[in-house]
Amino acid sequence: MEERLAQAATCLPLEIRRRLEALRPADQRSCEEIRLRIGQPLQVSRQGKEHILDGYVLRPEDITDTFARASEYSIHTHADSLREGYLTLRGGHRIGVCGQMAVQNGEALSFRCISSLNIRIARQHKGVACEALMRQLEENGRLYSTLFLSPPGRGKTTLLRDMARQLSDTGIRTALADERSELAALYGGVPQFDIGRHTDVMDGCPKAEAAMMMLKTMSPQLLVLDEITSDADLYAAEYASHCGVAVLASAHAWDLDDFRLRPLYQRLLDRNIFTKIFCIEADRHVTRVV
Amino acid sequence: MLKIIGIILIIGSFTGIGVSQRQRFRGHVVVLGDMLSTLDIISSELSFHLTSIPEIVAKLAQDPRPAVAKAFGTMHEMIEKDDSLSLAFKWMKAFRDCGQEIGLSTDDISILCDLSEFIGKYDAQAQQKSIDYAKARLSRQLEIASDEMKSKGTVYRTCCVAAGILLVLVLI
Repeated sequence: MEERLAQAATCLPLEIRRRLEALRPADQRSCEEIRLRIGQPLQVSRQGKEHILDGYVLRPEDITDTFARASEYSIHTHADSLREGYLTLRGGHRIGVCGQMAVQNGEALSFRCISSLNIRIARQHKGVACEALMRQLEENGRLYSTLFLSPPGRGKTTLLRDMARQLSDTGIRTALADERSELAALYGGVPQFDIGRHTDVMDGCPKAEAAMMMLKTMSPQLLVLDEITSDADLYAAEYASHCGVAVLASAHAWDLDDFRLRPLYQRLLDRNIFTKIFCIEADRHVTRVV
Repeated sequence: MLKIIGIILIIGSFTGIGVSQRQRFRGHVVVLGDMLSTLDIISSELSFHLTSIPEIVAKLAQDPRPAVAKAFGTMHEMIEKDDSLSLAFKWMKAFRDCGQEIGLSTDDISILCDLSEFIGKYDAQAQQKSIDYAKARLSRQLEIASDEMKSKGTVYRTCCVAAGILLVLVLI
């Protein structure tokens, strides 16, 4: 089986893995997600579309077994991320979890039972950030704070990782706030992806906290934040820019108009943290919008 | 001369039996102490690092204490196997398979097996509570084992020496 798919599939029951092994090599390489829903056939996503693999209908025990393996039989280790509906596998593959939640005082406590899982296969595409794009990030030795907008599934994380790698390899001290273990995917302290020679990673820690810690202790020249989602992230980005640290970040939005509609992002625009804003199009082309 | 050698052999072997019985009691006390400190390690790893159970088991498999290394080494091998068996089953099987070999009693084994209902299944606090309960039960077992070692251990050793002397007297 293709290496990354095989790594992501280690949490799956043997019967399902055999079905994935039977896929053609080209299909294995292009596989983006593995979708498991109780009572539904096994499906894989390729190029944004779901394809039914064969007639195998998933049983509740397939889902619970996969979940137990994915969480390394240790709910406590993944409790925080599970409250946000996901957990991360070795190698940076993210599993989205759905089902019935136990809620206490209006806050998600844990999953009472699980109905579906979405395993997103993390892949590194070196060179996805082309030379022309890299030139726009750094001009005359000055690194610009840059924001990338895109809806989910267009490769924001892959792009950020590649840009961080390339900039880090030119000697720029880079700090990676990898809250979801997707950018560097540390395992036993070792990054599972190539993130450059001058990169420090804070893994599993809330982005804003990680960013503040690294700004105070690692004296970075570049701070990478994947998905600005809260006021705390916004504050961390602003703090970094006040310290003279360039920020490379991403945010969920279809385009600039969609971006401007959201109150959080309006505040982000008001603070003028980012000199340049790019949009990732459906065909994964990166277009400058600001 | 032969008589003297015979006397020494008989008394020596009976004393050996007595001492080995006492050692057995002592071994039980030691292994219970080891298990209690192991539960402390697990508890600390859970509360401070939120370490996953397979990682804790892997660490304990390298423990310098033979009983801990044996039990958790067996468990580690089972966890490493790519099968569909649950961690709870592997936890129980490891203690059932090598519990007696490392010197645990049936009651001690069942206390440790009971933990499988909680280990890895709930948040760290709930697991710690179950570990604390297991520790309280094992501490009670340790008290009983210590009392046994003091009373029965001494009795075994004295009786065996006395039995050896008696046999020598009878034979003479």
